[in-house]
Amino acid sequence: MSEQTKNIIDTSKWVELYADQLFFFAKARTKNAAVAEDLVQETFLSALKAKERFKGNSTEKTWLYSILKNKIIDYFRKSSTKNEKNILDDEDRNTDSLFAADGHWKNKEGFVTSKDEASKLVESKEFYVILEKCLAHLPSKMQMAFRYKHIEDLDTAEICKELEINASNYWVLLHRARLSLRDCLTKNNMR
Amino acid sequence: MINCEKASELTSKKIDLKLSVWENISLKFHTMMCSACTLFEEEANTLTNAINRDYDEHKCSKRMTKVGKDKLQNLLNS
Repeated sequence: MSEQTKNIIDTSKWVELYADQLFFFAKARTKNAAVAEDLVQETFLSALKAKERFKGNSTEKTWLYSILKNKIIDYFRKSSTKNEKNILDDEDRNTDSLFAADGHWKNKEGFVTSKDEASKLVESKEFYVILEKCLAHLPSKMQMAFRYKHIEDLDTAEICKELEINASNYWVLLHRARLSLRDCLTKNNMR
Repeated sequence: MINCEKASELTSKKIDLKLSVWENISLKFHTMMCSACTLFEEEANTLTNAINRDYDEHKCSKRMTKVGKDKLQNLLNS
């Protein structure tokens, strides 16, 4: 047994041991350093409050991560409710409307016209600004599914558990996220 | 013969999971004749590349600022 599994918590070492790891974890997901710092701070605060209840069933690190994960989910939930009020009614948020009744694309255009253009686009800073905006406009679970999918060290089972969905819902969310992002990028005139 | 909606689903499935032999043939056959779905495939892959690349760039700054850490330390000491 490592010493972390003992039921003794030494909070004075937390910053030194975990701050960077937790910060990196939060920043990779929120893409915002200030938000990530706040989330780590909130995590430590919650952990301090719940210190007595920590039974040592998991390691201190795992325990802190689980608190942070919940903070991140809350953060996305809050930020997407804000967005949803403004944009949810927009018909372009419904990916079904991208296809006609016969299953053909209503709009055949995309945000690039060629492979060359696509490879140039991913070099440009502007593209990421718009991509981030489009991502922020997705409904919360869809947004989280898409972000989590592209983050290392998270497997499908873990993502589904975090989002409280099953695997097939997860694949559908990823597909809808792609359709919506593409539609958003096209409408924002990436060309 | 699959329609565009189905073809777009298979395009995503190809990125996230794996296509069966039959699905693979259906998709190839469709995109061969459909420029809109070829474009979607291209753009879906572009999105994946872009987001992976963006994430790699964020890796460079994986440390929390000194100010942030001091604030945390004070919080824990208080």
